[in-house]
Amino acid sequence: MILALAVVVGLIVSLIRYRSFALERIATISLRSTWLVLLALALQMPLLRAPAGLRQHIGVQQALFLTSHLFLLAFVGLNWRSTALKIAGLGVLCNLIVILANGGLMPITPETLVQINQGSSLAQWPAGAHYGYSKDIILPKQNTVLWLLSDILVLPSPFPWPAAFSLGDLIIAMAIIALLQGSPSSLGVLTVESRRA
Amino acid sequence: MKALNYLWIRYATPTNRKIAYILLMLAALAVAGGAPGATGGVGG
Repeated sequence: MILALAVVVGLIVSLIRYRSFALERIATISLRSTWLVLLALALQMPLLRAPAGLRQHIGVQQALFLTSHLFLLAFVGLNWRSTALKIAGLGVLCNLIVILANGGLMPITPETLVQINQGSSLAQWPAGAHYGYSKDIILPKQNTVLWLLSDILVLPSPFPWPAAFSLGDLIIAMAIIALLQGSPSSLGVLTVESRRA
Repeated sequence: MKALNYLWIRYATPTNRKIAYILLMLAALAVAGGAPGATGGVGG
């Protein structure tokens, strides 16, 4: 859920940059087939609601999670004319590649989990277990394929919601912030500019 | 109820509803596309 903060940041940046015209710019954003995103999210909910446990216990949830990426990529494909959504698609693809390379879940190391869960110890995070209520699996660095694309970036305390995220997550967040700045070539902006003139 | 109706007419304009819809869809895209690990997940 931490990535949803990108929407708040994008909105704030837009309000600072464009002030009273920010909302008009956002209203000009055109998204096609948004139901694909909602369907993808619905398919991921069983995994996001699964408590910690062995990977074998979440086979169905994992299959639904992997299937959801088809809908996300279809959404990006149908909105291909938007540069920001192309970049978001690149982020989704980065995450998908590392997820597939590691057996179907996003790898996270025990060391990273200790960083984001203050007061916990390495022994609390056994390798191979699903990190509860997330898309992550606990794997040591040496057993992680494409480690650079896994959840290695950390927002530690005193950030109110400590979290670890991947390069793909960062790309998606940046794309959403960029998208919320609106399209300079859109009709709404032309209206704004003509009002200014 | 009258006050709610007034607020709805005043603020839930088609443009504002579209903006809210876009923001919600982008939040959904962030949640579905990303795979962060946050505090609170419990180890196995």
